[in-house]
Amino acid sequence: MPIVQVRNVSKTFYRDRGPGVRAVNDVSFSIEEGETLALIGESGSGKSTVGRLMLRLIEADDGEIVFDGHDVRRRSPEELRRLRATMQVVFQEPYESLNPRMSIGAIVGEPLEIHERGLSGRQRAARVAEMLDEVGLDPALAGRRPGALSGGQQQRVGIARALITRPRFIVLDEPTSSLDLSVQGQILRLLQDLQKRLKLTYLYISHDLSTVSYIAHRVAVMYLGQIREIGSVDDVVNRPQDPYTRALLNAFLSPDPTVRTRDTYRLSGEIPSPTQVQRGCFLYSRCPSRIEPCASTPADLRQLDPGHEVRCIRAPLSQPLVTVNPELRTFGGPPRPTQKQQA
Amino acid sequence: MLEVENVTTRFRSRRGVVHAVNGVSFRVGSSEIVGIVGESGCGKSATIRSVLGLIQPPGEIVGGRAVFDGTDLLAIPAGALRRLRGSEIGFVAQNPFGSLNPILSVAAQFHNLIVAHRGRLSRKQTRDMALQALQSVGISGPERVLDGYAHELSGGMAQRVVIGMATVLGPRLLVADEPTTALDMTIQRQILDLLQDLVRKRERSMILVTHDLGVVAQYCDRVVVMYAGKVIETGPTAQVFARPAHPYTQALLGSVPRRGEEIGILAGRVPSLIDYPPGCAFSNRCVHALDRCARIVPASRPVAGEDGWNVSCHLVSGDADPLSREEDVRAHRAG
Ligand SMILES: Nc1ncnc2c1ncn2[C@@H]1O[C@H](COP(=O)(O)OP(=O)(O)OP(=O)(O)O)[C@@H](O)[C@H]1O
Ligand SMILES: Nc1ncnc2c1ncn2[C@@H]1O[C@H](COP(=O)(O)OP(=O)(O)OP(=O)(O)O)[C@@H](O)[C@H]1O
Ligand SMILES: [Mg+2]
Ligand SMILES: [Mg+2]
Repeated sequence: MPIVQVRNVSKTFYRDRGPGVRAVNDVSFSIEEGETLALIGESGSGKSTVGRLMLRLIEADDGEIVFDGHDVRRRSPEELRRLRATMQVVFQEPYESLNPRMSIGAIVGEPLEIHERGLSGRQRAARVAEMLDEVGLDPALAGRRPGALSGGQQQRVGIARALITRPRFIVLDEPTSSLDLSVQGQILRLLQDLQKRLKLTYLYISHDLSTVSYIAHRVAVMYLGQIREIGSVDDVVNRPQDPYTRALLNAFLSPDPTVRTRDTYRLSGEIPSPTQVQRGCFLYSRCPSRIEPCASTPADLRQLDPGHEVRCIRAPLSQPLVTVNPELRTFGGPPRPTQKQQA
Repeated sequence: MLEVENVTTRFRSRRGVVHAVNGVSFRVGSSEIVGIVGESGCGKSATIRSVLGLIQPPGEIVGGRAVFDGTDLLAIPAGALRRLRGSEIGFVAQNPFGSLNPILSVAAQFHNLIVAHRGRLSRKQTRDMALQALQSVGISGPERVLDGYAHELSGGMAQRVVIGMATVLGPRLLVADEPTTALDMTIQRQILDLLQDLVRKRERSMILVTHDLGVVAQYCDRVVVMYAGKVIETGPTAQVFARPAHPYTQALLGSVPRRGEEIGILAGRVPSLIDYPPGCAFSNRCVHALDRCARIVPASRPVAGEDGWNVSCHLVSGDADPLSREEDVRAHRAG
């Protein structure tokens, strides 16, 4: 049984004048309990908006969002407040999401105040210290304000605040984008460990393919408000069938300077504005593999293999459109030092 | 182009003085891209903010020089530095929303920036410049973005608007703090190609603070590795990545995630920057640490006679790197 289901959800942002921005366009997916779905895709394609819609931080125009059998869009404010104890979010912009006047300790402890009211001040402080330690922060930072922390430290405060009540479902919007590899690894392990022990469910929004293939079970790829392709990590990363996914994966930068990764398969041409109404396939104007019918035939998601859906009308291709970046097979970095640091 | 020497910056806090930047030195040549990497909180942002005169109380620069084209940026009046910033030196801050004004349209912000440095230009002229800047960073529907406000932008769009503002006046030095964290890989690549082109063809320079080793490997000519407010290793990217000399650099490069493998993480935590340790700041986490590592600060010295490749580590004895050192010792014993 999926714990969250998103069905045909759309969102347009209107402004005083001019056409609205179609940020999310008829998006559907579901996530099983204990599963991680990664959401990747073009910057500005609607990923963060999907996350905010799921927690009803903003209102959808259309569609259904079902969490644990309840339609989130129909909950009363009181019911929603209770639901929030079990649904949390780590925002993409760490500093913007932290109250600059509150101490780190108060920020991280705030969800406990709302959802675990029985705790004494001392118990709460202990939980906060423990949580800070889990995300690799010195508990002595509890007394500082967000402005006195580095970008990556602020990001971890956001993660600590979201995890402290052990919610059942968490939207993680680029949670490790400001973290170095070692701290990033620590956070990913923590998330994975909590997931295994407590069956937590994650929507993991990221641009970082190596963390995605480490933590996610399935991946959805977004472009211009739509899901272009969705499937297992193996399907999407190893056998991508949509031209957008292929172009995206091809741009991966190898961490090995001796491997000069060239993106031979790239998007070109005019980038359509999300205010324009598209006919046919949304990728048409930039697609390296377009053919005549793509201009007018709507590209709907359809199943290629069980669990693997794609929009491109040409998929599956008998011949691969490109040889997908060989680097992606291993995410090979420079050779590991022979004498490893202990894990 | 830029020579940073011994920059030292502290923050006063209730618990004591935070030694965020402790005598950082590095140089950036013309037509060169220098990457700065290091653990979260190690002083990367504080270093570049010091150089750009952007440290505010309770922070304080207590020493050092940053010579840009013959001028010490740390010694000139704030007004002169402000004139340089934005025109001669472009800056992309780590938090893009922090550099955008929430109540002015993007077009108005471009206009104010341009006229502040270039004098009277019409709205139409500045708009055209802004439009071109936004197009070059791959913004879809730049007209809509120009007439919009910061809160209407996605994370990656805000980042691109700030990159557009930092480059619109053609600075000779671009300092970018994590400029592509919110960008997808195709746009990231497009923007880095664009910036690299500017640097190479027009003899500009760039400092790129990043956690993304792919960005360093593919775009940075040289890399500066920081740990606990100090530069612990610096050198040409190719050499440092192929044979990292410092145990921290080794650990960092060794933690590139690989599919199907347990993720590599470094045990232990950075020492508190308030009670700064007397010896090598990495010694408490270093698997190779010797007795003296915790007591004596290692000096920076050249690695294996290579030009421009330096490391601060007691284990590196001048001509051997620590990877081969233990083998040397073993061979020596056996022989
Ligand atoms: N409050 C708003 N008002 C107007 N437009 C908005 C608003 N919020 C988002 N948008 C627009 O909706 C689109 C999707 O934004 P969203 O933040 O979901 O993108 P994203 O996929 O998360 O991008 P990124 O990877 O850059 O973070 C963008 O075109 C953005 O400009
Ligand atoms: N106002 C302040 N008061 C006290 N300490 C501060 C203040 N600002 C920064 N610091 C501390 O200085 C150190 C260096 O911060 P800096 O922002 O330079 O780190 P960074 O290397 O950029 O990290 P990140 O990769 O996480 O952005 C951090 O440990 C931070 O906690
Ligand atoms: Mg986003
Ligand atoms: Mg920083």
